[in-house]
Formats: sequence, structure tokens, C-alpha cells
Amino acid sequence: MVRALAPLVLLAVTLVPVACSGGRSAPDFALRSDRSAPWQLSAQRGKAVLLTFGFTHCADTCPAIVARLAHATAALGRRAGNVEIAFVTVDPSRDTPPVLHRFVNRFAQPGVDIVGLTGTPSQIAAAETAYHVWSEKVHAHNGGYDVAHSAPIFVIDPNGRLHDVLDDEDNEGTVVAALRRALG
Amino acid sequence: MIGVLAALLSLVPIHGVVLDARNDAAAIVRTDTVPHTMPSQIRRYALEPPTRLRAGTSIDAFLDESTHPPTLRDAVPAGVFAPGLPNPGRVVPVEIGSTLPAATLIDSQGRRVRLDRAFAGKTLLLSFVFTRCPDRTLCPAISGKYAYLQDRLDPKHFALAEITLDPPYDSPAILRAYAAGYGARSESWTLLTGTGSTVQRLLDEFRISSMRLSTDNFLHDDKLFIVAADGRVASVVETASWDPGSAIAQARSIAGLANNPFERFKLALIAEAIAICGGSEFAGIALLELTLFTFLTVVSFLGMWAVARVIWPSRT
Repeated sequence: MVRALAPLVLLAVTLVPVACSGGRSAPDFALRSDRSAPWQLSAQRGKAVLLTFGFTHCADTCPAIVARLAHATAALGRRAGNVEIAFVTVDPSRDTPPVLHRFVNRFAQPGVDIVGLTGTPSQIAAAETAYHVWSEKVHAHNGGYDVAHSAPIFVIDPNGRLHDVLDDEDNEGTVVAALRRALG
Repeated sequence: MIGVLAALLSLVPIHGVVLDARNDAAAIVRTDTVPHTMPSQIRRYALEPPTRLRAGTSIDAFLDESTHPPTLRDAVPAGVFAPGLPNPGRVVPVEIGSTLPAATLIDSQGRRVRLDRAFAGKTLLLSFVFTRCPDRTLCPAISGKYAYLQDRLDPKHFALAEITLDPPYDSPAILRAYAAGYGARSESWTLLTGTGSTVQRLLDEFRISSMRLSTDNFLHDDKLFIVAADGRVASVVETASWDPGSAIAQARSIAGLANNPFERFKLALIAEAIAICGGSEFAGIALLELTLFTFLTVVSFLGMWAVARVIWPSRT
């Protein structure tokens, strides 16, 4: 009898924190970093994460967003070390770890931690679904393609909770203010 | 460019779930997909008017993209749109003689339309349809007849309106395409959608059953409401197969424009009988026919009695 109940108790124990978080916990996902190392969101607890989605062939919006997030993080001074910028590609077939590594290095600033994230198309699709990010391949005239996508910036606090959602129209000052609030 | 501006200034009804509400002026909300408009997404919204929302609450609201961050207007807690049998107990049902209920809907251009005010001063023909309706004899037939009425009823005196039975799918953008398909002109023919909770309440008020058969199909009542210029319901036709010629005659009569006095008298009589029978068309017509039958019986009996008196004079 006790043995039969054990899975139920275990289920209840695991469900309680989920229920109490009121749906605010940022959905977890695991991908591969631009240094080809495994990377999991829940392993970043203790740091605020600025999570955004884009692709390296992106002409203007994606580099501008990453640059803005890097500047905003640098503006925090010594607290910049408590922030990690995570750039998830929506174009995993072209954005391999080395391609992402070159891309994120373009925005490198002292004390600012930026990670580029890629994975299999299904892993990327799962991360997009979890954050309700939309992306779609758009064929270009030269035979190549672009990826149209929504570009929210999720501000996740050091406890792994979704603290705020910004977008590409928010300026650096707004990002800094959101980060300060998330870091508490 | 004008199209872009119109799109920016327009409102879109949405359904979503509040993920976090920092204060009553802002919330992080995950919205459902709005067909031909936007995918499901998680964003921070300003709330106008300021509204206290708890995390986990499911809401209906109007999305306004003209601000940054975008604004959710008139957000109210609301479940997922789930039509069914009407529940007239919760509301004041719309019957012959009653005024249109107060409800804020959105037209195909994304503008707010107050159902009880927008058509005042005109005779309104109001129906419920949905754009994915696959049965050519139902909604498409109604919209086809509306196209016919549009060419024959002067927009100075008459208005045509269709309210969607499927608000989660029938976004303003979908309605715009539907209207274009039927050649609807905005000065005479308005297509309306709204939040799921508003439309669900209207279905209760107008006593329209609607059952979801699949994700994209509904089995529903068809009713044509003719509303007089004073805002009172003058006639309810309970079928989708109404004759457009009769509808025009009836609408013109209600508007006081019938050119045949006998037709005007007949329609007024029918409307009066229906009103006496508490809004039931069947009972009203039954009452009229019973009255007519009694009248004819009495008249013919008296006539025969008079003839009999002539043929067989009394012995006195």
C-alpha cells in the first residue's frame, strides 16, 4: 500500500513548487553553447539571464539587440558578472557553434557574459514553443533565405523566474532598469 | 501608408493568460494566436484602464499596438470561448420590443462598435455567422443575401450587420477578407467580432444555440433580427432560408417606407400579434390565424342565417 502511494506522494511533492510558482517560472530548456558545451537554463540560477532569439545572418535587428543588451549589462558595472546574455538561434542549420562563437564575439565587452545557443531543429523548436516565439523561413531572391521571427527579450531573475519581457523597441535605459529590478 | 496607420490605430480582441502582474498598470501576458494577425506570444503590456490581475488568470481584452509597450484595453477575467446552449437565465433575453444589449464589438477595421448605439436612427438587419462555415445553404447564403440587400436598401435608412459566432478565429483581418469576398461596402454592411466573453453573452441574450462540431465548425441557430430605428427589435425570422424580397418588404415596412398600404398593414398586424404573444413568431401567427378563422366563421354563419331568413321567412 505504502509502495503504491509512493509515486503519488512524489508527484505531489514535485507539483507543489510548480503550482506555487503561479506559472511564472521561466520554462527550462537545454541546448549547446557556442563553445560546444551543454547549456541548461536551470543551471544558470544565481545569475539574471537576458534571453533572446535571433540568427547570425540577420541584417539589423538581431545584432542591434545583442549590442544593446551587452551595453546595458556593462552599464551595471561590477554587477555585470551577475548577468548572462543568452542568444538562441532560430536558424540551427546555419548557426553552428563556431558560427555563433564568431557572432557573439563581435559584441564582447569586458565583464559581459554572452552565450550563443544552438541545437537540433527539434530542440530549437521546443525552446521556441516554450517561450511562444514565432519564426519562419523566408526565401530570398538570391537563393538564400532569411528567418522572420518575433524578438522578445525575456528578463529572468536569479531565481529562474520570468521577471519581465522587453522587445526591440526598448532602449538601453529600460534594459538597465529591468536588470536592476531583476537583480533586486 | 494609410493602411499601415489604420492597422496601428486598430484594436484586436485577444484571449490570454496573465503570467505575472507587477502592478495594476502592467502585466506579462501570453496571448493566443490571432489568425492572419499575430502568433501566440509572451509580452509585457500596459493595462488601460489600470486593472488588478492575478498571475494565472485567463483574460479577454482588446490589443492596441499603437503604444509601446503595447496596451491591453478593458481586460477582464474570462474563460476560453465555449459556446453551447444559450443560458438566458443569466441575462435579459432579446425579444420583440426589447432594445439591443450594450456590448462593445470590433468591426473589420479594428474600430470599436457599440451594438446599442452604432445603428441608432437606422433600421438594422442583424445576423450571426462565421467565416469558416462550410454549408453553402447557411452562413454563405446569408452573406450572399446581404450582398443582394445591400444593393436594394438605402444606407441612409438601413444598416446590415453580421456578428461572428467564432470570435477566436474571426479576427478583424479575417472579417476584412470575408467582407471583400462578398463585396461588402462599409457604409452599409458591418462585420463584427469581439472578445469571446462578449460574444458568448450575446449568444445567450439573442438565444442562439451554437455547438462546436470540430475546431473549425459550429452547428448553430440562424436568426435574422430586424431592429427599428428607435433601437427596438421589431421582427425575428428564425431560419437561414428567409426570402430576401420579403426581408426587404418587412424592413421597409418597419422603417415606415412600405409603398403598399395593405402590405404595411399586414406586417404591422403580424408584428403586433407576435408582440402580444410575448415575442413568439409561431404563437403570434397562430393567434392571427385563429382570429381570422373565428371572424370568417362568424361572418359566414351570420350571412347564411340572413339568407335563410330571406328564403324561409319566419312564420310570425
